[in-house]
Amino acid sequence: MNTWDAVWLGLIHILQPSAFLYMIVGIVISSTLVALPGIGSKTAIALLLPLAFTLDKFEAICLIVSVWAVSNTANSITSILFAVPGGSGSQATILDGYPMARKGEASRALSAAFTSSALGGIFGAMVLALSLPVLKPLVVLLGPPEFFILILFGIAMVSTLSGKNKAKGLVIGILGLLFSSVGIHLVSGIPRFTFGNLTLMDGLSLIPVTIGLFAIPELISLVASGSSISRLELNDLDSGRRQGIQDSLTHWWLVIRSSLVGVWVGMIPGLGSSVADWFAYGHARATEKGAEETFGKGDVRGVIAVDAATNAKEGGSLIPTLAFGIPGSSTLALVFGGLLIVGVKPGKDILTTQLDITFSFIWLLIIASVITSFLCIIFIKPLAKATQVRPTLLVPVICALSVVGAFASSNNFGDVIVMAIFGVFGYWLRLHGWPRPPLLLGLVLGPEAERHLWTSYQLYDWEFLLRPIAGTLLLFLIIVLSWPTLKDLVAKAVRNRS
Amino acid sequence: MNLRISGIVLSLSLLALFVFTLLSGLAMPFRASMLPVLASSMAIPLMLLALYFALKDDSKENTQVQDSDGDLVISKNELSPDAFRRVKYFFIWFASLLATAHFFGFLLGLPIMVLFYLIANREPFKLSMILSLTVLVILYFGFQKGLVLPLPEGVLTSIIFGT
Repeated sequence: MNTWDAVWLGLIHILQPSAFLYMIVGIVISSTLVALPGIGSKTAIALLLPLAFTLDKFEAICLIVSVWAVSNTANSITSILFAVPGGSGSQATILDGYPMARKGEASRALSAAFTSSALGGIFGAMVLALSLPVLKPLVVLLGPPEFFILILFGIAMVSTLSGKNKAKGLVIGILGLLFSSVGIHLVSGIPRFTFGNLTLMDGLSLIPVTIGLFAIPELISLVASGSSISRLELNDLDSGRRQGIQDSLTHWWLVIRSSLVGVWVGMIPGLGSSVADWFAYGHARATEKGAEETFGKGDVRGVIAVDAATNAKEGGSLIPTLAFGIPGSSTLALVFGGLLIVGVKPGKDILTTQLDITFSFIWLLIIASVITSFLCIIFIKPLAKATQVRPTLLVPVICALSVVGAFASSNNFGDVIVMAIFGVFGYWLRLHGWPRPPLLLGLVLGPEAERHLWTSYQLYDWEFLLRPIAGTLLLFLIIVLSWPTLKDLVAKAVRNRS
Repeated sequence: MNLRISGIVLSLSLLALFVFTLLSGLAMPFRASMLPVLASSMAIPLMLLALYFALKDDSKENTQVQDSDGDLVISKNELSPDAFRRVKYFFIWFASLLATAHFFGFLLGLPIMVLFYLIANREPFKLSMILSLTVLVILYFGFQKGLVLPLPEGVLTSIIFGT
């Protein structure tokens, strides 16, 4: 397919009235749910996925991608107004956003955050578009052995970067792979780990597992903390919007540099929003004039840098996802899983014969970012009020919807039980510092990993591990995993010698 | 249960799970066993390493570190005895929610349990009623009619109404 045809077709797909409507639905629901206390982007996506499965391909793409693409934007509200991070990507926003709110510039800070989010989103999407000509020949070079190692690499990166204890992260990533093998093995017809249970014969569905693993523990956390941010007062939100927008446009060079930081972080599996925001903040503090004196005391540049980076990260993270089928985060793994179910398979096809779908993603990133920022700026007050909803009102309603969401994935009450079991398990993991994102990644990538492993074995026996590209990737993976230990051993040896 | 003991129980349970999957995998035909055996044999040494650290300095590390992908650090007040008491009551309510949904169906059971939770948490009765009815409306018009999702009727309601 000609590239320009694909660009045009990609836009037409998402401008169809029904697809566009679902994009708006995704934006509104995502922004509202994310603004509510304790409801993260994963919960929002998991609750909406059953709806996506009833739609046609492009309507579903519009809904799923828009929910994910804009989930970072509304996170800034609680960070700026109450110094409570709405998500891991909005922690650095507090440093300058909250002091601005205390000075009576909350509206200016929020508008600057939303505008820079939109600009960052556009920048990320453009980098993704520009990377396509480089990715295409690269993907064609890779075969099953390379894809198998790349999947392991992706899981290992997310596992090792998602907690202090790398062994725990890796164990959970592998556990995800094992959970993906539950059910009847499609090729041999052998039931694996089903214990004769009919629900398990079809395998563990993505939606109940996700709701259980992420939504239920977050609701328990809301119950356990027993407080909301409702006792804090809202600052004046009427004036300063125009100033905030102007700030972002005036500091365009900072927006571009921070977006580049975001894209770079997004491209590396495992480095999530929380890294992007601190990197961008650190970069702005180090390079902006007079930042040493003003940053941390309510400098709008601190807000702009962080929000541009966290939204630009999404475009960057789509590069390994679309090209190699390796989602760089658990949220993207959930999006990836949803896309697979609606018939969109990332990899070689999406960069060649189905290039229009890739450009639909790019257009969605651009259009959804702009619309979200526009809506957030207009509806600052209602969104700010949403952050003050009492947990006692939210918990039972979200729980009830979670039960229906889990059931809706396959019209089976067994999936509700699966959700409940994973809810308890997720809470247990969270309580003891075991990272949950690698489990989701392992679960989503497991079937592909198994397919590539078997094909590689059939083609080359175990020697597939020694093929030039696969071997190099494996060596690189081993070095990455063992580097901290190796570094410590070398340092100890040097110390002993001296 | 003591938090430290709970952590060790979790680690041991995971270890037992990996040993079970390895042994079960070895009994399967080669093609079906490839991934389970490969994954379990990688996980067991890592699990032993994680267990060693859990036994060595669990007291230093009983809270979740910064999770790079969406999770925030577990707060101290989530670990207080009062918090665990609230979580215990939540679990009881959650189990009742599932049981009510199973026996009385989603359309009846879920709004009733939402109402029960709100009233038990001393929310105003009028607001509790409105929210429960909203849940009913979402379930009926959103899921049952809008998405054409056949919500389960419930074991007891089926017997009583003979549907």
